Amino acid sequence: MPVWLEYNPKNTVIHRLHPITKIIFFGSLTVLAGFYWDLRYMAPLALIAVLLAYISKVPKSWFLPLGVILLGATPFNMIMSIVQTNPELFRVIPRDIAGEYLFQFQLPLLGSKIGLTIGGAFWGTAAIFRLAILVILVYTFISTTSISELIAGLSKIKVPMSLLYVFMVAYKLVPHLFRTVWAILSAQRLRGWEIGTKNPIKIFKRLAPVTYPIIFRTMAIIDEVNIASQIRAFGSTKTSFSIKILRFRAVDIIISVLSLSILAICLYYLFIFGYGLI
Amino acid sequence: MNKNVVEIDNLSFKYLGQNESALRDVNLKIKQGEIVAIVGPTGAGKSSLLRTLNGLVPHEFPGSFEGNVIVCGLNTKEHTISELARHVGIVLENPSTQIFSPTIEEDVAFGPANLGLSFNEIVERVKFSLEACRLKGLESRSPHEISGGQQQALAIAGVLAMRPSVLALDEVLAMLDPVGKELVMSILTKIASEQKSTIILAESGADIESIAKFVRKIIVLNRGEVLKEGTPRQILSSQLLDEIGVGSPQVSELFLKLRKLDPNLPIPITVEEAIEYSKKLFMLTKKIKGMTRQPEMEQKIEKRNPAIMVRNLWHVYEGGVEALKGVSLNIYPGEMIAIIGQNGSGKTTLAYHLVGLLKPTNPDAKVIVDGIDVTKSKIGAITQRINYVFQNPDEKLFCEKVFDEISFGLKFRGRFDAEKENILKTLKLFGLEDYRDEYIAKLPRNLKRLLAIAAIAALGPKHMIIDEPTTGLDNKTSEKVLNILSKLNSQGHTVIVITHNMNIVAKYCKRVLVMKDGKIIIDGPTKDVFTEVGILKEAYITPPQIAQLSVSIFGRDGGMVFLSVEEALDCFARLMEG
Repeated sequence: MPVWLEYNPKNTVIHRLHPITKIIFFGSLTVLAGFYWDLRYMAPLALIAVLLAYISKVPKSWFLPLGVILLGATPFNMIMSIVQTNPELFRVIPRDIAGEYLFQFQLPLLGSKIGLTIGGAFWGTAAIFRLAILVILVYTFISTTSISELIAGLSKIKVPMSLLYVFMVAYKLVPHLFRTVWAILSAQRLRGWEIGTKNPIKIFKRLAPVTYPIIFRTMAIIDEVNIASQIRAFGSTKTSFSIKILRFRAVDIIISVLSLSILAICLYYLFIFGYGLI
Repeated sequence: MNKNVVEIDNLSFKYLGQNESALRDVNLKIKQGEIVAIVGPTGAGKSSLLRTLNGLVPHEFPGSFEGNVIVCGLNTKEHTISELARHVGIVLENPSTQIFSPTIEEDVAFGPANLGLSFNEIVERVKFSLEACRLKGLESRSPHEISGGQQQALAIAGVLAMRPSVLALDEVLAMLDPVGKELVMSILTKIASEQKSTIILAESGADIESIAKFVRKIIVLNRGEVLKEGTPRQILSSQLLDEIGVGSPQVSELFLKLRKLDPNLPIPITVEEAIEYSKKLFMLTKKIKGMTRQPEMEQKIEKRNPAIMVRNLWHVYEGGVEALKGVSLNIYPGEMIAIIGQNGSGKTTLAYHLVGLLKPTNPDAKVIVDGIDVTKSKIGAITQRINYVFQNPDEKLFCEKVFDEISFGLKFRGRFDAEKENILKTLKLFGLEDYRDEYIAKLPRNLKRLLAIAAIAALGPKHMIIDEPTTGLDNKTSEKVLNILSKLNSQGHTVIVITHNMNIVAKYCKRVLVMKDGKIIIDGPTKDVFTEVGILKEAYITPPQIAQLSVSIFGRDGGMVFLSVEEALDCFARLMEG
C-alpha cells in the first residue's frame, strides 16, 4: 500500500506511458491550470485531472490530505481575494462589475473599510480551483511514474545529474518520512500522547513530542539517503535508465505532439485574445 | 596465491566533535575471495572500519584521519565514494534507507544502471541477484510490502548486482529469520568462491553462530583496536569473545566450559561438529540410556481467564496482502511468551492489533485485553493495560534528558507526582539511575534501547509487547535487556517478545507461538516447540544450537531437550563423570 506521494505500481494506460510523455502531458495541463482564471475553462481541466486520477488508480486515501491542503490555503486565499479590489486588474469581467463589493466591513482600530469584490470572489474561487487541479495532477504524475523511470527519462533529455539527484532525494524522502511520522505518532500515542485540545497554543506545545523526533529523523534520513545513493554509484556515470524498456511508442508521440499543440493553441488564444482570463 | 584487496596501514580515526577515537592504529590485510568477520561489541568501531573501505570515512564523515586504506589498489582518501562504489559494495544495517525504487526488480537494477552497464547485462545481473537472495517471484512487488528481512535481502541483492570486488555488510543478519541468515551466508560463500569477491561482515554477537562456520577469518575489534585475528576455531577456542561481551556460539561455549573436566576437548564451531564430538565423547548408546527427562520448570500460570484473547483475527492490507488469516489465541496473565516466525509472517501486524494500532478487516474478529474490546477502544484507553515497544525504539526518543524521557508519559497523564517512586524504581531496574541527568543524544545505542523500553515500562502496563528488543545489540546487552524483562515478568507483568533470536527465546520464554503466512502454526511450551524441527523449518526457524544438539543425541522422543548451555553443561558433566 503506497503512502502519500509514493509511486503506486499498477498497469494502467497512464503508467505505461513513457516518462517524457508524462512530463509533457502533465506539464501542459499544469501550465494551463497555472494560467487560466476563468472557471469555464478551469472546469474541463478539473474534470480531466479527476478523470486521469481515476484511470491511474490514485489511492483514495490521498484525497484527505488534498482537503487539508485546500483548507490550509483558504485563509491566505481569502486575504488575497480581499485585496483584489482594483477593477483594472480584470480583463474580461466588466470593470464596474468586477469592482462591485459583495460585502464590506470596517477594520477595528484602523477605521478603514475592506471587503470582497465580485472580481475578488472570482479570483479566490479560481485560485482554490487551481490549487486542487495542480495537486491532483501532481498526485497522478507521482503515483504513475517511478523514480527510476523519471530519472531514466530525464537523463535521456540531458537533465543534469545534480538536478536529478534533487528529484531522487525528494521522491525517496517524502514517503519514507510519512512512514516515519506514522511510527513516531503511534509510538507517542502508546506513551499517552494526544492532542486532546482545540487551543492552538496548547496544540503547538503538545506537538513537541512528535515534532522533535520527526525533525531529527528527517535530518538522519536525508543523510542516510545521501550515503545510500553514493554507495549505489548514483552519479558515477552521466546516464541512467530503468530496467523497464522505455520505448517511445506511437501513442507517446501522439500524446506528446497533441499536448504541445493544444498547449500552444490555448496559450496563443489566452495571451492574444484573453481566453481563459477573467 | 590470492593478492590483498584490502590493505589498512596504521589507521586511526576520530569523528569530528568526538573526544574518543573510533579507530586506533588498525593494521589489516584481507585477501581476494576471503570471507572475514569483524567481531566486536556495540561501539567497538566495526561500522567505522567498514565506512573507511568505500571512503564514507573520511569523505562523508569528516574527522581526524591518519594512515592509509587501500582497496583494490585505490587509496580511499584520494577517490570519491562513487568511484569506490565500483569496487566496494556496502550494505548498511537499516535496509529501508537503501531502497530507492518502487519495485524490487527496479531497485536491484538501480546500482548497475548507475554504473552505465548495457541493458542486457543489467537484466542478467538482476536475475542472478534476485535468485541468489531468494527474491525471485517478487520482482514487481513494492519493497514496502515485504518484510524487514526481505528488505535486507533486497539491500544485499542491490549491492550484489553491482558485482563489487569487496562486499562489506554491516550487521545484515540482524533482522533475518534463522533460515534467512543461513541462506544469506551460503549466498555470500557462493559469491566469494565463484566470483572471487571478498566478503567482510561486521557482527556484534547475536549472529556469531550463523557466521562462524562460513568465515575463514575473524578479526576481533574492541574500542577501536584490533585485539586478535585468527581462524574461527582459534578465536572461539579462547574466552576472548565472552570477555568483551560478544559471546560465542552455544556449542563452543558448552565445550569450552567442559574443558574444565577434560582440557583436551576439541572446540566445535558448528552443531554438526558438536554432535560428532559428543558422540565420540560419550560412546553414546551406553551412556545416555539412563538419562531421563528432567522435571519441567513449569511457569505457574492461572489458565482460567486469559488476559489477552484473540478470535478469528484477519488483516488484509489495502492492495490485498493478507497479513493475518484468522488468528486465534489466549495469553494468560503473567506469561512470558515469544512470538517467532519467518520475516513477513504477521508477527508485528498481530502486535499492532493487540494494542489497537490496527483494526481487524473482518467484522467478527475479537481482540479482548483484560475484558476490554480493543477493536472498539481508543488507544489511550488501553495503554495502561497493554503497551508495545516498537522496533528501533531509540529513534522515537525526544526529550533532552533521561529522566524527562522516562517520566514523559506519566507527566502527560498528570500522574507524575503520584508515581514518582515508580519512575525511580524503573530507572533502577533498567540500570539507568546513574544516567538520569544525562543528555540522551550522548548516550550509546545500548543505553538508548534500554531507555526506550524503560519509558514504556514506567507507564506500568500490565502486559508488554517488545518487538525485536535485541536487534543490533551485543550479547551482553541483549542478556541485560532480557534479564530486565524477566524481572518485570516475575513482578506479574505479561511479557510478549517478538524476536528472531532463538537463544533468548529458549533461555527466557516458557511458551512459544510460531507464525507462518499470517497463521499460528505451533503454540506450546518452548521445549516441545523446539523439538518440532520439521515444522519449524517450514516456518524458516532453526532451533538454538543447544536444542539441536540434544535432539540429535537423545532423539526427538528422548525427552532430553536443552534450552540453555547451563542445562546441557549439567547433563554433559554428569555423563562425563559417570
